[in-house]
Amino acid sequence: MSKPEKLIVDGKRLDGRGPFDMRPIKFTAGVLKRADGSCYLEFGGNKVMAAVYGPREVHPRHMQNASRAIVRYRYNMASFSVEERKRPGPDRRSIEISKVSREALEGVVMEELYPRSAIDVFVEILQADAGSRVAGINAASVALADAGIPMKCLVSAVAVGKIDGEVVLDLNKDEDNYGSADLPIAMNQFGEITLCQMDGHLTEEEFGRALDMAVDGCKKIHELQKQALIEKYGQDITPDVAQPIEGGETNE
Amino acid sequence: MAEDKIVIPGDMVGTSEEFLPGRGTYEENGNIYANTTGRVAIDKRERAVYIEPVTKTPPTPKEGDIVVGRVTDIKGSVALVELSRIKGSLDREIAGNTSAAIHISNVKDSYVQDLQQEFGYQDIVKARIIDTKNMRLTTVDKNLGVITSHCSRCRSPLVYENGKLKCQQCERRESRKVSSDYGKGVI
Amino acid sequence: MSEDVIAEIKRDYIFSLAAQGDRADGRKFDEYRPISVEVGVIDKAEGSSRVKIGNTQVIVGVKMQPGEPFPDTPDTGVIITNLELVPLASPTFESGPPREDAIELARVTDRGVRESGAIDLSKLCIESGQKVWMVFIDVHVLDHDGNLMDAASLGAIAALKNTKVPNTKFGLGEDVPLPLNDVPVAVTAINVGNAILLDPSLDEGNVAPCRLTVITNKEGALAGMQKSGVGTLTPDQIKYIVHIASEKANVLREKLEGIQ
Repeated sequence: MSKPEKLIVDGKRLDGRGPFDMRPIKFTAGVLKRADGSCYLEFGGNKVMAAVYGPREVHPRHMQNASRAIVRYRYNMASFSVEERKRPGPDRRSIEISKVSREALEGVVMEELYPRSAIDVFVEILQADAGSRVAGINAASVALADAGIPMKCLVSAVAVGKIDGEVVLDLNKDEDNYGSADLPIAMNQFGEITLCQMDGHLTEEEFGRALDMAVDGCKKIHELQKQALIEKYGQDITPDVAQPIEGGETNE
Repeated sequence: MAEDKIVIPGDMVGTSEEFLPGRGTYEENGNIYANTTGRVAIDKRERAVYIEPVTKTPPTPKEGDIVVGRVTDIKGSVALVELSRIKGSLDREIAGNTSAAIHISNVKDSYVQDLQQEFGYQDIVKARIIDTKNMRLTTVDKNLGVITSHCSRCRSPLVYENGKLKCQQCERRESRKVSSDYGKGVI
Repeated sequence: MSEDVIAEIKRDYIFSLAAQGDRADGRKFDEYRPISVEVGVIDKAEGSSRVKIGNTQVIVGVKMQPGEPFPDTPDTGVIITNLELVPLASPTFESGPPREDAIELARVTDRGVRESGAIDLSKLCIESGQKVWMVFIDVHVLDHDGNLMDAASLGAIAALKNTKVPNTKFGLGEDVPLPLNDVPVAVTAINVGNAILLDPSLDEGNVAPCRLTVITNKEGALAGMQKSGVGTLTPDQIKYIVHIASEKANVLREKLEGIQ
C-alpha cells in the first residue's frame, strides 16, 4: 500500500488495534517428525517454523568446545515469504539476525551439560510480516523446550515501534514501512533483556516507555508459550493461568 | 509447589531450604527452578524435588541401556565401538560421549582367546552399557553381540546359517560372537 | 555417521519383509501413505500449497514477476524451479548451497511441469521480445520422512493450480488464474529385492539400491522420468513401474480435483 495520511485514527491503528495490543498469536509445539523439537508460530502475518536438533556431534570438529555445547542458530527466509521473491540462501541481513538471535537464546540454554556437542536451532520464515526475527526467537524458544533441552527459562520477544509520533507495541508491515522507529526486544523470564536492537528515531523518554511496553509484551508472550507447551504435553492438567489476556492475542 | 503439577523451564518448584535440586531442576539464589517441561515430583527420602519430563529428552547413555554401534578398531584385548543409538531413542542422536569399548572379558560367558574371532572391523554390535564413566560395554547375553557383518575378504554381507556366518559371494566362513537377533533388523 | 548404522540394521529387515510381501508400516506395495493437499497457505505468494505424504511435508510457493524473455522464445513465459533442502527438515541436511540431491529434485519437478506443458506459457507474454511473466516455483521441504520427489511434484502442481497472475500489482489489468493445460503427477518406485514398492518411506528409500520416478500427464502419457541411485533395474521392472505409475497417478490426481 502507499503511505497513508495517518497510521493512527481516533486512537486506533489501521488494523483496529490500540497502542498496547499485539496481533493474533498462535503457537503449536511439536509439529515436525524428524526434528528433535519443533514449533510452528503464526504471529500476525508471520508464519514461522522452528526446529531444534541435538545435542549432537559437531562438524567440523575444531568447532567443538571441550567444556560446553555450542548453540548454532540459522534464520532463513523462504523465497516466497516476502512481496518480491527473495533469492534463496543467506544474505548479510539473515546472518546478522541469526547472530543476535542466537545470543538472545544462548544464555538460557544449559550448555555446560553437553560438552563437545552442538545444539542447532533452525528458523524458517515461511511468510514474513514485520517482526519476523522476534517471531523466530519466540518459536525457537518453544522448540528448544519441546526438544527437552535443559534451559533456565524460556525467552520471549516482541518489537515496539513509533508511528505518527506515538509509541506502539508490535508493528505490522505497513506500520514498519511508514513508521519512524523499530525496537525489537527479547527478554528471559527473569526480566533480563537478551536482545536489544533499534533503528529510527526515539527520544530518551520515548525509549523508556517503549522498553516498558516491550517488557509487558514479552510477559504476555511468555504465557502463550507456556500454554502451547502445556497444551501439547499436559492435556490432563488444567493450567492455573487461564484468565484471558487483553489485546488481540489468542492461543486457540 | 504441588506434586504432579506440570511445569516448564523457569517455573519455580521450591526453595533450597525445603529441598535439594534433583534432576530436571537447577538452583539459583536459594530458589529451585525447573529446567525441563514435566511433572513435579518429590523424593521424600532424599528430600529432593525433581522433574519427570513429559517431552522427549536428549538420549544420554545410562548403565543398563541397550545400544547399537559400529566396531571401529580391535586391538589386543579391546574392541572399540562408536555408539550410534540407544534402544528406545532410535530417532535421536546420542547426546554425549559415543566412544565405547568391549573388553575381552565382557564378550561372552566362555573364555575368549582371540578377539578377532568375535568381532570384525565395521561390524554393527548390540551391547549393554555396564559403566558410563569409561563407557564399557558387554555382549554377554544371547541377544547381544554382532547383528550385521561383512566378509573380511570381499566385503559382502555375511549370512547366518546353521550356527555359522557365511559369505554368499565367496563362500568364506567367519566366526563372531553373534546376537540371536543377527540379520533380523531388530534392535 | 550414526544414520548409516540404522540404515544398515534396517536393510535386512526391509528386504526380508518385502520377500514375504510385506512392508514395515503394513502398506501394500503400491499403496501410498495418507496424502493431504492444502492450497493458499502463503498469502504473500501468487499461489501456494502444503503437501503431506505421511510425515513428509513440503510447502511450495509460486511467485510471478515480469522479466525479459529468452531471445529464442520472445513470446513465451519463463519457468524457474528451485528446491531447498533446509537443515530444519532432516538431521542429514546441512546448511550451505544446494547439494546435488536438491538440484536433482528441483530439476525433476521442473521437468514434469515443463514437459507436460502444464503451464500455457504462450499466454504469459506481456510485450513480445521485451516482457514476459517469469514463474518462480520454490519448493521448501519442512519434514523429510521419505519420497520427497512425489511430494515436491504434487506440491508444485497444486500451487500452480492455486496461482493468480498478479496483473493488478504491475498495472496490467485484472488478476486472472494462471492458464494451465495439464496436471503432471510424479510417482516414485524403488526395488527391494524382486519387489517394487511405491512411495518409499524414509527407511525404505535409504536402503533401496535405486529409485525410479515416472511423471505422467492427464492422458496417462509419459512427461518425464528419472532413475536415481547406483542400483540397477531390468527393462521389465521399468515397464512395470511405468504401468503402475500411470495408474497410480490418476489416484493422486484426484487429490488435486477442485483445487484452485
